[in-house]
Amino acid sequence: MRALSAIVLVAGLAFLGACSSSGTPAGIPVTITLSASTTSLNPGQSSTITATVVNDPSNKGVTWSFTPSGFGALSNQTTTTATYTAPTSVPTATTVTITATSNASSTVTAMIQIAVQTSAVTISLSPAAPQTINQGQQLSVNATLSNDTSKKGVTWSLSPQVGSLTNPTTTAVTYLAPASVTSNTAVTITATSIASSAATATLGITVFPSGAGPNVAALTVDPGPVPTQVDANLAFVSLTLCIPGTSTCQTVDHIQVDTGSSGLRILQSVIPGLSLPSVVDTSNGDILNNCVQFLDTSYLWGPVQQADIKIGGEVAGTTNVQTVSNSNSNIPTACTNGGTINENTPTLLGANGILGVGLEPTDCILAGADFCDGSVTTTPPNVYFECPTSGCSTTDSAVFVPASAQVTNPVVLFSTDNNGVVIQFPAVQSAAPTVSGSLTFGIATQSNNALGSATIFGLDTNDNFITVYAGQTLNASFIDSGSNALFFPSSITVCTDNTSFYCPASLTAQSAINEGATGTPISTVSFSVDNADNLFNNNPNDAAFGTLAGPQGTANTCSSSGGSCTFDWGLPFFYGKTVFTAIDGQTVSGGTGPFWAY
Amino acid sequence: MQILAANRNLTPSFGFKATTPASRIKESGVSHMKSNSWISLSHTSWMTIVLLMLALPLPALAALGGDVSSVQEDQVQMKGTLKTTEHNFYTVHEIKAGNGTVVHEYASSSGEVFGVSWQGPFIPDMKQLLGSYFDAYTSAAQAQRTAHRGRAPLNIQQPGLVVESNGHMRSYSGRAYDPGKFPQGVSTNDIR
Repeated sequence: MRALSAIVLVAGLAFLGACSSSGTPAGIPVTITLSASTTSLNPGQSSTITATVVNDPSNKGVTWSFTPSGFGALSNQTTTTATYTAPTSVPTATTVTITATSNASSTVTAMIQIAVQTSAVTISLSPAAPQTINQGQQLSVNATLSNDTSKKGVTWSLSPQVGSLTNPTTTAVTYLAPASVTSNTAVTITATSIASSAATATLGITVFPSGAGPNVAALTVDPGPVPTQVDANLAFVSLTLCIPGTSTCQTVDHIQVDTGSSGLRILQSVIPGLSLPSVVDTSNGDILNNCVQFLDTSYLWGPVQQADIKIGGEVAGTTNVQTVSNSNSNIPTACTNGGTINENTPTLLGANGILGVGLEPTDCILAGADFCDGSVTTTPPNVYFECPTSGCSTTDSAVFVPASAQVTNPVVLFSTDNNGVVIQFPAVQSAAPTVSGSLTFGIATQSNNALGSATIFGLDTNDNFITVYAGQTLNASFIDSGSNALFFPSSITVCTDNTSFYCPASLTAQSAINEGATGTPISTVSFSVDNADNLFNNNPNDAAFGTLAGPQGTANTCSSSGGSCTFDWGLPFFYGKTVFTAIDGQTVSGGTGPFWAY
Repeated sequence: MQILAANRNLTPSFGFKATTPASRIKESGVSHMKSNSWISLSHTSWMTIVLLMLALPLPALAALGGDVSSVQEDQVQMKGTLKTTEHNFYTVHEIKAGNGTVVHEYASSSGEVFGVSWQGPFIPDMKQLLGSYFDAYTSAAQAQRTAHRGRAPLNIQQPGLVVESNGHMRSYSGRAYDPGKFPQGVSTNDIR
């Protein structure tokens, strides 16, 4: 009975609606009340509008419209709700009026107004990547603004006040470096929008003393490429990758500089628009893939591809690089080694790539022995894999490949300045938000990379030298900008919550002696170890730590038959020094690589 | 699977060239096994063989915590040479793997492997080497990686598992042991 009466009622209302001039039962007007989830929107944002309709017995609801026409969109429209989305680009602030018209009575309408704010002003600077210039030189900087509707442009500022800004306009300025600086000096130029002071853009410039040249790239220790993730003691550089022989290029910042490995590894996810050619086996068209395994069970996996690498003023043409694949599927288990994480995002890697400018010409050679070409090993190590263009499978096995197909240290491919690198940083006493230094290519090839009074340390066939520390002769020691602390076997207390670092009660002075692999020359290094928990907790936004150290194996176990025999001189060692890394087999005036000197 | 590896090796003179993405697409029909001129099995046949191999009872590959007989399986897996040295309270099995890395496995007189160490240009297959300890190793290693804010030498110190490893590209060393399984008279310092 109830169902029947309902049908009658609906039919009756439909009849009335069709005959009544007002469209509603006489004397009972429809009323519409509108509400919005928000009445103020930024460009691209949405607001949900809800209509509450009274005296609408057949629940016909409303029809939606808005003005100005075409300014944004109404979606998800029902008879009681709709979603208004503002345009992504809003040159001037605009008030949008959304109208709901009763379907039962077209003369009944309700309106609500939504204020849409203008697009935020954004500034991009050219050049965008950090720059290096010599003392006394100048650099022009241009600003391009978006959504600066009244074209007010920017004002310029310099911090610290080293050098000066000349000829400023609202879109350009020239930085004039001081006539003389005593050491690498970092300045920051800031452009601030006149229309919206919240919009700024910065350019870092490092001024070198006389002798700097195009073989120099700026090095920066900063929190890294992921704003919410502050990494410690990672040294970054910017470089430009190009499809070989073309001007199709992309500049990538936050590439970690690692003297403990060789070859460039770039995340595919940071060069989405750059389609680099893969290295293929000419006999079958298979694509060569590269694998880097880490002890923490993570790894880097992806194809060997070729790029022209431009860094500082140097170019490494048609260089084999590893492009770390976005995909995590069908990776050979021989590469994953039971691990699960391909560190293929900036968050996972802590960088957009790794630039290996270490002691060797490729990633599979050690002291002249090539472990990947079949000349010294009977089994291919899990470094190179061949896969059809359709992809790899988890059961694929490693293959031997010649050095010419291996991931290559870009430095050896420079036309000059190709025998090694020099890393220079100012001292960092405790903690600093950022530190600026330099990566100079070549050793004793220019006036800015001379060995001078540096001590040269020869290496053994494992590319190690000797560090004598606390009575231990650690004969598998090495210098490595890619290690973010000093790691060595010691009785210093290890942090309880993070077993990677030492946590002495207070700052502790230490010293060690570095020796060449043959026992000479020798050089004493003084350093300090601070409580890592305190360093991190007291300086949560800092990236550079001069006194960060951690354990390496177990103290007093090193002997001729093995044990913990490594002192890993990570990035804190580089602070306050000029450190030379000479590449295996390269001639250096004063010696032959591989060696370290400082 | 190891048979595959031995036969997919390229000679040092093997030719490589770079191809453009466009030509890669053109070559997408290339068979995976095409490079193996020594055998002409189809994908399906290979799948059958792989499935058969998976179906066979595999020997225990675990070294740490495993029986001393697993040492020989490790030797086969690593395509290495084996040298055994007797000590007072334990036996050291030295496997020189085909890729140049040397692995030491320390077995008690009862035949249980209580420690392993390695030194060489490549990290050993940790899943094989750590056996039943592998999951504990993986979770501890990943936790350290996540907490570290950079990459550090591995330092796992748990009641039932110690793993220490370090090194740089093409020169690694490390050791792993279960402190609870040491025979009397043996010190952790013997694992080297």
